[in-house]
Amino acid sequence: MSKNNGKSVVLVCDDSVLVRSMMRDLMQNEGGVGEVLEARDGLEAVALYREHRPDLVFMDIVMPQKNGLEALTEIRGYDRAARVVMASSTGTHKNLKAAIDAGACDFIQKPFEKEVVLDILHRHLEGAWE
Amino acid sequence: MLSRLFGQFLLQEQLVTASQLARAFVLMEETRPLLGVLAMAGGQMTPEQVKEVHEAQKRSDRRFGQIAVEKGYLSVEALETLLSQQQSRHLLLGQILIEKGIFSSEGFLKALEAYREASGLSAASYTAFDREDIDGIVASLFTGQGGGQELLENYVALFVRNVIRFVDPGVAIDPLADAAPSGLPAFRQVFSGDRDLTSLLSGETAVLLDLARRYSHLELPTFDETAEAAVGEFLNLVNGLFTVNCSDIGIELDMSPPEPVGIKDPLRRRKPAVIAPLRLPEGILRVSLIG
Repeated sequence: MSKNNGKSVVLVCDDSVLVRSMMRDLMQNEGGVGEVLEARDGLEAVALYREHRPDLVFMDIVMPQKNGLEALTEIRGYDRAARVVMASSTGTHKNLKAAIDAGACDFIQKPFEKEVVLDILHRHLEGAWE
Repeated sequence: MLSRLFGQFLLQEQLVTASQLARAFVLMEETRPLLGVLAMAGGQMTPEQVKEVHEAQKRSDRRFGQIAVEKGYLSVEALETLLSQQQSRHLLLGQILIEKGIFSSEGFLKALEAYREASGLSAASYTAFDREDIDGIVASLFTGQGGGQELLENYVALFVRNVIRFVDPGVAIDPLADAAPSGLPAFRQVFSGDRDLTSLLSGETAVLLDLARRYSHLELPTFDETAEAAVGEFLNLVNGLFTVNCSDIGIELDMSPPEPVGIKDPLRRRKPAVIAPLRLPEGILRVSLIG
């Protein structure tokens, strides 16, 4: 079962209101996600994670205040079971390695393809409900 | 790519009206250029010879190229080259304008020569534009600027490819665009790491709004927060891919988030290492890299 009373909760962390809005629409309309939380930077992401313990996190890398790799490290330090998918346009070897080392469970390259996001939801949320 | 620039030139020179040009662009989707137009534009045949072959075609069921070769106006090799050039879009535009009686054959040739002269394109650049060879076009922008421009060329070519892919397949680098006027809305994203670079994207609000709409597939009635985010996200997308390309050749770059830039920002007064004017339907979008 999900940690959130059977309702899947996903946190989308991206400084772009456009990306957050598109991800929210996709997840709620086609991904069957119960609740989508939104964070504009790494600081907000860490705070929202601590408060809600979402089933899955989509985390941009390039963000103000605290970048996605720093937020990932902090979230995983708080919850070793956290499932965080890095979602960025900058999939360099350096960033991929840093994301894997910090415990990211997946990486998707921007711009997002709908099918890829839905596939990730399917794979990782199924795991959350076991 | 050249068809839009040539069309813009004809419009600016008042050789065609906006509605004539719009109708011609619609017809272009359904037509391909005739060998006679290609042969005239390439200087292989005169307008008189083309007319003579057309007259001969009316009397016999033979192809243009076959008759032109028989009459000795074209060699077989020249014919083969012309056949391979039938994808040429700007010559197709000329052909349609001739067919619609807006231009005579001679008038079209004059306009084409005037455009070639005004654009200042070398023969190699002209060919690159005509074949929509992005790398060749971008390289022509840097001609005479010395070496060490490879990274900048790669950036501009990557930017153009992504405009083609996500915004407008008909985008053109416009060698005739005026110098950037000051005070235009702009967005920037800063690179750090192995190189200190700043990318800057600027244009009239209508151009940026059009880019935002096309990229986001949203209606976006005004240039609001979502439109700003769409422009920023597009810049972020291209720049992210640039960091990946750089990483592949051993140059590691980090990026700051994209952000709107104030008119008085000191960076805007620094001379860019490269500035590429891209012609979109609403006007010119300028991409710069400041290093």
